[in-house]
Amino acid sequence: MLSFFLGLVMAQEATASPTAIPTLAPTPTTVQTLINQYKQDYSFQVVEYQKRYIEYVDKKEVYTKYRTVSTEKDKISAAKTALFARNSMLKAYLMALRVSLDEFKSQNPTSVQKTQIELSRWEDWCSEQNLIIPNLNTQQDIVTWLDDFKEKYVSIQQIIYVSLTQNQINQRLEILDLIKKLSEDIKKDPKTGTILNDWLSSLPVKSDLVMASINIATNLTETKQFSNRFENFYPEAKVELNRTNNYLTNILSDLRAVAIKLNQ
Amino acid sequence: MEENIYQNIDLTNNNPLKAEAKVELTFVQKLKTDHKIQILVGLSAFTILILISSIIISATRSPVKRDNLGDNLPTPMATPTFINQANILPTQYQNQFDTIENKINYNPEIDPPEIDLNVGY
Repeated sequence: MLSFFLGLVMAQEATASPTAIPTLAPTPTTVQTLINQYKQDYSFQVVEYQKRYIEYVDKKEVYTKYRTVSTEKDKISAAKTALFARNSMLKAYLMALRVSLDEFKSQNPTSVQKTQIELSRWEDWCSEQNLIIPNLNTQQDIVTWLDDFKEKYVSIQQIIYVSLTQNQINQRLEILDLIKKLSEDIKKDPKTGTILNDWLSSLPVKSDLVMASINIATNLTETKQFSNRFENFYPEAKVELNRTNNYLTNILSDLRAVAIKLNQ
Repeated sequence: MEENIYQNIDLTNNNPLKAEAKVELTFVQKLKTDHKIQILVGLSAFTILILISSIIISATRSPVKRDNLGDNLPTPMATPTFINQANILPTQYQNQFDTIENKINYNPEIDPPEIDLNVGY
Protein backbone atom coordinates (compact mmCIF):
# COMPACT_ATOMS: atom_id res chain seq x y z
CA MET A 1 0.00 0.00 0.00
CA LEU A 2 2.80 2.41 0.99
CA SER A 3 4.66 1.67 -2.23
CA PHE A 4 1.47 2.36 -4.21
CA PHE A 5 1.01 5.78 -2.58
CA LEU A 6 4.70 6.52 -3.17
CA GLY A 7 4.19 5.61 -6.82
CA LEU A 8 1.20 7.92 -7.10
CA VAL A 9 3.08 10.73 -5.32
CA MET A 10 5.97 10.32 -7.75
CA ALA A 11 3.56 10.40 -10.70
CA GLN A 12 1.99 13.51 -9.25
CA GLU A 13 5.38 15.16 -8.78
CA ALA A 14 6.20 14.30 -12.39
CA THR A 15 3.04 16.06 -13.52
CA ALA A 16 3.71 18.98 -11.19
CA SER A 17 7.13 19.73 -12.65
CA PRO A 18 5.93 22.08 -15.45
CA THR A 19 4.44 24.55 -12.91
CA ALA A 20 7.70 26.48 -12.60
CA ILE A 21 7.80 27.31 -16.32
CA PRO A 22 4.79 29.57 -17.08
CA THR A 23 5.72 32.51 -14.83
CA LEU A 24 7.95 34.22 -17.45
CA ALA A 25 5.64 35.97 -19.98
CA PRO A 26 5.26 32.99 -22.31
CA THR A 27 4.89 33.30 -26.07
CA PRO A 28 1.64 31.98 -27.62
CA THR A 29 3.38 28.83 -28.88
CA THR A 30 4.90 28.12 -25.47
CA VAL A 31 1.52 28.62 -23.80
CA GLN A 32 -0.14 26.24 -26.25
CA THR A 33 2.59 23.64 -25.72
CA LEU A 34 2.25 23.96 -21.95
CA ILE A 35 -1.53 23.70 -22.11
CA ASN A 36 -1.26 20.52 -24.19
CA GLN A 37 1.26 19.09 -21.73
CA TYR A 38 -0.95 19.81 -18.73
CA LYS A 39 -3.98 18.44 -20.54
CA GLN A 40 -2.09 15.20 -21.15
CA ASP A 41 -1.15 15.00 -17.48
CA TYR A 42 -4.77 15.54 -16.55
CA SER A 43 -5.94 12.83 -18.98
CA PHE A 44 -3.45 10.42 -17.40
CA GLN A 45 -4.82 11.19 -13.93
CA VAL A 46 -8.41 10.73 -15.16
CA VAL A 47 -7.57 7.20 -16.34
CA GLU A 48 -5.85 6.46 -13.02
CA TYR A 49 -8.87 7.68 -11.05
CA GLN A 50 -11.27 5.63 -13.17
CA LYS A 51 -9.25 2.46 -12.48
CA ARG A 52 -9.14 3.12 -8.72
CA TYR A 53 -12.81 4.02 -8.67
CA ILE A 54 -13.77 0.68 -10.27
CA GLU A 55 -11.57 -1.16 -7.76
CA TYR A 56 -13.27 0.69 -4.92
CA VAL A 57 -16.76 -0.14 -6.23
CA ASP A 58 -15.78 -3.84 -6.43
CA LYS A 59 -14.43 -3.89 -2.86
CA LYS A 60 -17.49 -2.08 -1.59
CA GLU A 61 -19.77 -4.67 -3.23
CA VAL A 62 -17.81 -7.50 -1.61
CA TYR A 63 -18.03 -5.79 1.78
CA THR A 64 -21.78 -5.17 1.38
CA LYS A 65 -22.21 -8.89 0.62
CA TYR A 66 -20.06 -10.44 3.40
CA ARG A 67 -19.70 -7.69 6.03
CA THR A 68 -16.50 -9.17 7.46
CA VAL A 69 -13.57 -7.36 9.11
CA SER A 70 -11.25 -8.31 6.28
CA THR A 71 -13.61 -7.11 3.52
CA GLU A 72 -14.12 -3.85 5.42
CA LYS A 73 -10.37 -3.39 5.60
CA ASP A 74 -10.12 -3.98 1.85
CA LYS A 75 -12.90 -1.47 1.23
CA ILE A 76 -11.22 1.22 3.37
CA SER A 77 -7.94 0.61 1.62
CA ALA A 78 -9.58 0.84 -1.84
CA ALA A 79 -11.45 4.01 -0.78
CA LYS A 80 -8.22 5.68 0.32
CA THR A 81 -6.55 4.78 -2.97
CA ALA A 82 -9.52 6.09 -4.97
CA LEU A 83 -9.64 9.33 -2.97
CA PHE A 84 -5.91 9.80 -3.44
CA ALA A 85 -6.28 9.32 -7.21
CA ARG A 86 -9.27 11.66 -7.22
CA ASN A 87 -7.26 14.42 -5.53
CA SER A 88 -4.41 13.91 -7.98
CA MET A 89 -6.84 14.19 -10.86
CA LEU A 90 -8.39 17.32 -9.39
CA LYS A 91 -5.00 18.89 -8.89
CA ALA A 92 -3.95 18.04 -12.46
CA TYR A 93 -7.14 19.65 -13.72
CA LEU A 94 -6.64 22.82 -11.69
CA MET A 95 -3.08 23.07 -13.00
CA ALA A 96 -4.21 22.69 -16.61
CA LEU A 97 -6.90 25.29 -16.04
CA ARG A 98 -4.46 27.73 -14.44
CA VAL A 99 -2.05 27.46 -17.36
CA SER A 100 -4.84 27.77 -19.92
CA LEU A 101 -5.73 31.18 -18.45
CA ASP A 102 -2.37 32.50 -19.71
CA GLU A 103 -3.62 32.26 -23.28
CA PHE A 104 -5.85 35.35 -23.13
CA LYS A 105 -4.43 36.85 -19.94
CA SER A 106 -3.46 40.12 -21.64
CA GLN A 107 -7.14 41.11 -21.82
CA ASN A 108 -7.56 41.27 -18.07
CA PRO A 109 -4.23 40.54 -16.35
CA THR A 110 -5.19 41.57 -12.81
CA SER A 111 -8.34 39.50 -12.67
CA VAL A 112 -6.69 36.49 -14.31
CA GLN A 113 -3.74 36.72 -11.92
CA LYS A 114 -6.16 36.70 -8.98
CA THR A 115 -7.91 33.61 -10.34
CA GLN A 116 -4.59 31.86 -10.99
CA ILE A 117 -3.49 32.49 -7.40
CA GLU A 118 -6.78 31.03 -6.19
CA LEU A 119 -6.32 27.97 -8.41
CA SER A 120 -2.77 27.53 -7.11
CA ARG A 121 -4.09 27.63 -3.56
CA TRP A 122 -6.49 24.77 -4.30
CA GLU A 123 -3.74 22.80 -6.05
CA ASP A 124 -1.71 23.06 -2.84
CA TRP A 125 -4.72 22.03 -0.81
CA CYS A 126 -5.13 18.91 -2.97
CA SER A 127 -1.46 18.05 -2.41
CA GLU A 128 -1.88 18.51 1.34
CA GLN A 129 -4.90 16.24 1.35
CA ASN A 130 -2.89 13.54 -0.36
CA LEU A 131 -0.52 13.62 2.62
CA ILE A 132 -3.46 13.18 4.98
CA ILE A 133 -5.33 10.41 3.13
CA PRO A 134 -2.78 7.61 3.76
CA ASN A 135 -3.18 8.30 7.50
CA LEU A 136 -6.93 7.75 7.56
CA ASN A 137 -7.28 4.41 9.31
CA THR A 138 -10.94 3.94 10.14
CA GLN A 139 -14.20 4.39 8.31
CA GLN A 140 -15.02 7.23 10.70
CA ASP A 141 -11.76 9.01 9.76
CA ILE A 142 -12.69 8.72 6.10
CA VAL A 143 -16.24 10.01 6.65
CA THR A 144 -14.94 13.03 8.59
CA TRP A 145 -12.47 13.79 5.83
CA LEU A 146 -15.15 13.38 3.16
CA ASP A 147 -17.50 15.81 4.92
CA ASP A 148 -14.74 18.40 4.95
CA PHE A 149 -13.92 17.70 1.29
CA LYS A 150 -17.57 18.20 0.28
CA GLU A 151 -17.59 21.69 1.77
CA LYS A 152 -14.31 22.62 0.16
CA TYR A 153 -15.41 21.16 -3.16
CA VAL A 154 -18.15 23.83 -3.45
CA SER A 155 -15.42 26.48 -3.49
CA ILE A 156 -13.29 24.40 -5.87
CA GLN A 157 -16.18 24.06 -8.31
CA GLN A 158 -16.82 27.77 -8.09
CA ILE A 159 -13.24 28.67 -9.00
CA ILE A 160 -13.24 26.05 -11.78
CA TYR A 161 -16.32 27.54 -13.47
CA VAL A 162 -15.22 31.12 -12.81
CA SER A 163 -11.92 30.28 -14.55
CA LEU A 164 -13.64 28.62 -17.51
CA THR A 165 -16.02 31.55 -17.96
CA GLN A 166 -13.31 34.17 -17.49
CA ASN A 167 -11.01 32.50 -20.02
CA GLN A 168 -13.73 32.42 -22.67
CA ILE A 169 -14.70 36.03 -21.92
CA ASN A 170 -11.09 37.06 -22.44
CA GLN A 171 -10.98 35.08 -25.66
CA ARG A 172 -14.05 36.99 -26.98
CA LEU A 173 -12.55 40.33 -25.92
CA GLU A 174 -9.35 39.51 -27.77
CA ILE A 175 -11.33 38.61 -30.90
CA LEU A 176 -13.24 41.90 -30.69
CA ASP A 177 -9.93 43.78 -30.40
CA LEU A 178 -8.53 41.93 -33.40
CA ILE A 179 -11.62 42.76 -35.47
CA LYS A 180 -11.31 46.45 -34.53
CA LYS A 181 -7.62 46.40 -35.42
CA LEU A 182 -8.39 44.81 -38.78
CA SER A 183 -11.10 47.39 -39.51
CA GLU A 184 -8.58 50.14 -38.72
CA ASP A 185 -6.14 48.61 -41.20
CA ILE A 186 -8.84 48.40 -43.88
CA LYS A 187 -9.88 52.00 -43.16
CA LYS A 188 -6.32 53.18 -43.83
CA ASP A 189 -6.36 51.50 -47.25
CA PRO A 190 -6.55 54.22 -49.97
CA LYS A 191 -9.01 52.07 -51.95
CA THR A 192 -11.49 51.95 -49.05
CA GLY A 193 -13.07 55.39 -49.43
CA THR A 194 -16.56 55.35 -47.95
CA ILE A 195 -17.11 51.60 -48.33
CA LEU A 196 -16.43 50.95 -44.65
CA ASN A 197 -18.66 53.75 -43.31
CA ASP A 198 -21.79 51.62 -42.90
CA TRP A 199 -19.87 48.86 -41.17
CA LEU A 200 -18.14 51.35 -38.84
CA SER A 201 -21.42 53.02 -37.95
CA SER A 202 -22.99 49.65 -37.02
CA LEU A 203 -19.95 48.51 -35.00
CA PRO A 204 -20.79 50.30 -31.71
CA VAL A 205 -24.23 48.67 -31.60
CA LYS A 206 -22.81 45.21 -32.29
CA SER A 207 -19.95 45.75 -29.82
CA ASP A 208 -22.51 46.74 -27.20
CA LEU A 209 -24.35 43.45 -27.79
CA VAL A 210 -21.09 41.53 -27.30
CA MET A 211 -20.27 43.47 -24.15
CA ALA A 212 -23.80 43.05 -22.77
CA SER A 213 -23.54 39.26 -23.06
CA ILE A 214 -20.05 39.33 -21.58
CA ASN A 215 -21.32 41.39 -18.63
CA ILE A 216 -24.15 38.91 -18.01
CA ALA A 217 -21.64 36.04 -18.06
CA THR A 218 -19.35 37.96 -15.67
CA ASN A 219 -22.22 38.66 -13.29
CA LEU A 220 -23.18 34.99 -13.32
CA THR A 221 -19.71 34.05 -12.04
CA GLU A 222 -20.52 36.07 -8.92
CA THR A 223 -23.51 33.89 -8.05
CA LYS A 224 -23.73 33.38 -4.29
CA GLN A 225 -22.91 29.84 -3.21
CA PHE A 226 -24.33 27.79 -0.38
CA SER A 227 -21.91 26.20 2.06
CA ASN A 228 -22.87 22.63 1.15
CA ARG A 229 -24.23 22.89 -2.39
CA PHE A 230 -22.79 24.34 -5.58
CA GLU A 231 -25.13 26.59 -7.53
CA ASN A 232 -23.98 25.91 -11.09
CA PHE A 233 -24.10 29.12 -13.10
CA TYR A 234 -21.99 27.77 -15.96
CA PRO A 235 -24.77 26.53 -18.29
CA GLU A 236 -26.32 30.01 -18.27
CA ALA A 237 -22.94 31.66 -18.72
CA LYS A 238 -22.22 29.32 -21.61
CA VAL A 239 -25.40 30.48 -23.37
CA GLU A 240 -24.16 34.08 -23.16
CA LEU A 241 -20.69 33.08 -24.32
CA ASN A 242 -22.15 31.29 -27.34
CA ARG A 243 -24.23 34.37 -28.06
CA THR A 244 -21.11 36.58 -28.10
CA ASN A 245 -19.50 34.12 -30.49
CA ASN A 246 -22.45 34.52 -32.86
CA TYR A 247 -22.24 38.32 -32.67
CA LEU A 248 -18.51 38.23 -33.37
CA THR A 249 -19.01 35.85 -36.30
CA ASN A 250 -21.58 38.27 -37.77
CA ILE A 251 -19.34 41.30 -37.30
CA LEU A 252 -16.46 39.51 -39.01
CA SER A 253 -18.67 38.26 -41.81
CA ASP A 254 -19.87 41.82 -42.52
CA LEU A 255 -16.30 43.10 -42.46
CA ARG A 256 -15.30 40.38 -44.90
CA ALA A 257 -18.05 41.49 -47.26
CA VAL A 258 -16.68 45.05 -47.09
CA ALA A 259 -13.12 43.86 -47.70
CA ILE A 260 -14.24 41.87 -50.73
CA LYS A 261 -15.63 45.10 -52.26
CA LEU A 262 -12.08 46.49 -52.26
CA ASN A 263 -11.16 43.97 -54.92
CA GLN A 264 -14.11 44.77 -57.18
CA MET B 1 -31.12 -49.65 -132.95
CA GLU B 2 -29.48 -46.42 -132.00
CA GLU B 3 -31.11 -44.54 -129.31
CA ASN B 4 -32.34 -41.04 -130.09
CA ILE B 5 -31.76 -38.47 -127.50
CA TYR B 6 -35.03 -37.09 -126.40
CA GLN B 7 -35.60 -33.40 -126.16
CA ASN B 8 -38.72 -31.69 -125.06
CA ILE B 9 -39.15 -28.81 -127.34
CA ASP B 10 -41.56 -27.04 -125.02
CA LEU B 11 -39.08 -26.82 -122.20
CA THR B 12 -35.85 -25.57 -123.72
CA ASN B 13 -34.07 -25.20 -120.42
CA ASN B 14 -34.97 -28.63 -119.25
CA ASN B 15 -32.50 -30.31 -121.46
CA PRO B 16 -30.32 -32.57 -119.34
CA LEU B 17 -27.60 -32.50 -121.97
CA LYS B 18 -27.41 -28.77 -122.11
CA ALA B 19 -25.73 -26.91 -119.21
CA GLU B 20 -28.17 -24.73 -117.28
CA ALA B 21 -27.68 -21.05 -118.07
CA LYS B 22 -27.54 -18.97 -114.83
CA VAL B 23 -29.89 -16.01 -114.85
CA GLU B 24 -28.55 -12.95 -112.95
CA LEU B 25 -31.40 -11.52 -110.82
CA THR B 26 -31.74 -7.77 -110.31
CA PHE B 27 -31.86 -6.21 -106.83
CA VAL B 28 -35.56 -5.61 -107.13
CA GLN B 29 -36.06 -9.25 -108.05
CA LYS B 30 -33.87 -10.36 -105.12
CA LEU B 31 -35.77 -8.04 -102.83
CA LYS B 32 -39.00 -9.63 -103.95
CA THR B 33 -37.74 -13.15 -103.49
CA ASP B 34 -35.11 -13.15 -100.68
CA HIS B 35 -36.48 -12.71 -97.15
CA LYS B 36 -33.02 -12.01 -95.65
CA ILE B 37 -32.55 -9.01 -97.90
CA GLN B 38 -36.02 -7.83 -97.06
CA ILE B 39 -35.21 -7.89 -93.34
CA LEU B 40 -31.84 -6.19 -93.89
CA VAL B 41 -33.37 -3.42 -95.95
CA GLY B 42 -36.16 -2.98 -93.44
CA LEU B 43 -33.72 -2.63 -90.51
CA SER B 44 -31.52 -0.20 -92.45
CA ALA B 45 -34.52 1.94 -93.27
CA PHE B 46 -35.59 1.94 -89.63
CA THR B 47 -32.10 2.99 -88.46
CA ILE B 48 -31.92 5.80 -90.97
CA LEU B 49 -35.36 6.97 -89.92
CA ILE B 50 -34.33 7.12 -86.25
CA LEU B 51 -31.11 8.95 -87.15
CA ILE B 52 -32.95 11.57 -89.14
CA SER B 53 -35.61 12.06 -86.48
CA SER B 54 -32.93 12.48 -83.75
CA ILE B 55 -31.17 15.15 -85.81
CA ILE B 56 -34.44 17.00 -86.32
CA ILE B 57 -35.40 16.82 -82.62
CA SER B 58 -31.98 17.99 -81.38
CA ALA B 59 -32.02 20.84 -83.88
CA THR B 60 -35.47 22.01 -82.79
CA ARG B 61 -34.67 21.78 -79.06
CA SER B 62 -31.27 23.52 -79.24
CA PRO B 63 -31.30 26.89 -77.35
CA VAL B 64 -28.91 28.44 -79.85
CA LYS B 65 -30.78 29.64 -82.87
CA ARG B 66 -28.88 29.59 -86.07
CA ASP B 67 -30.08 33.09 -86.85
CA ASN B 68 -28.59 34.45 -83.59
CA LEU B 69 -25.27 32.68 -83.77
CA GLY B 70 -22.49 35.08 -83.02
CA ASP B 71 -24.79 37.75 -81.62
CA ASN B 72 -25.45 36.65 -78.00
CA LEU B 73 -22.46 34.43 -77.38
CA PRO B 74 -20.37 35.43 -74.35
CA THR B 75 -16.99 36.82 -75.22
CA PRO B 76 -14.14 34.75 -73.74
CA MET B 77 -12.23 36.47 -70.94
CA ALA B 78 -8.49 36.50 -70.59
CA THR B 79 -8.51 35.14 -67.02
CA PRO B 80 -11.25 32.91 -65.64
CA THR B 81 -13.11 34.24 -62.56
CA PHE B 82 -13.65 31.82 -59.68
CA ILE B 83 -16.48 32.43 -57.24
CA ASN B 84 -14.43 31.88 -54.12
CA GLN B 85 -14.46 34.27 -51.18
CA ALA B 86 -10.90 33.49 -50.16
CA ASN B 87 -9.64 34.48 -53.59
CA ILE B 88 -11.67 37.66 -53.75
CA LEU B 89 -10.52 38.89 -50.32
CA PRO B 90 -7.54 41.26 -50.61
CA THR B 91 -4.43 39.22 -49.92
CA GLN B 92 -2.98 41.72 -47.41
CA TYR B 93 -5.91 41.07 -45.04
CA GLN B 94 -6.23 37.34 -45.62
CA ASN B 95 -3.99 36.37 -42.66
CA GLN B 96 -5.80 38.67 -40.25
CA PHE B 97 -9.17 37.24 -41.26
CA ASP B 98 -7.84 33.69 -40.91
CA THR B 99 -6.40 34.41 -37.45
CA ILE B 100 -9.65 35.88 -36.19
CA GLU B 101 -11.70 33.06 -37.67
CA ASN B 102 -9.44 30.46 -36.04
CA LYS B 103 -9.82 32.23 -32.70
CA ILE B 104 -13.61 32.28 -33.03
CA ASN B 105 -13.66 28.54 -33.79
CA TYR B 106 -11.15 27.67 -31.06
CA ASN B 107 -12.64 26.29 -27.85
CA PRO B 108 -10.29 26.84 -24.86
CA GLU B 109 -12.61 24.97 -22.49
CA ILE B 110 -11.15 22.02 -20.59
CA ASP B 111 -13.91 19.68 -19.42
CA PRO B 112 -14.04 19.56 -15.61
CA PRO B 113 -13.55 16.17 -13.95
CA GLU B 114 -16.57 14.10 -13.05
CA ILE B 115 -16.32 13.32 -9.38
CA ASP B 116 -18.39 10.87 -7.37
CA LEU B 117 -18.72 12.50 -3.96
CA ASN B 118 -20.00 9.25 -2.42
CA VAL B 119 -16.67 7.45 -2.74
CA GLY B 120 -15.60 6.31 0.74
CA TYR B 121 -19.00 6.49 2.44
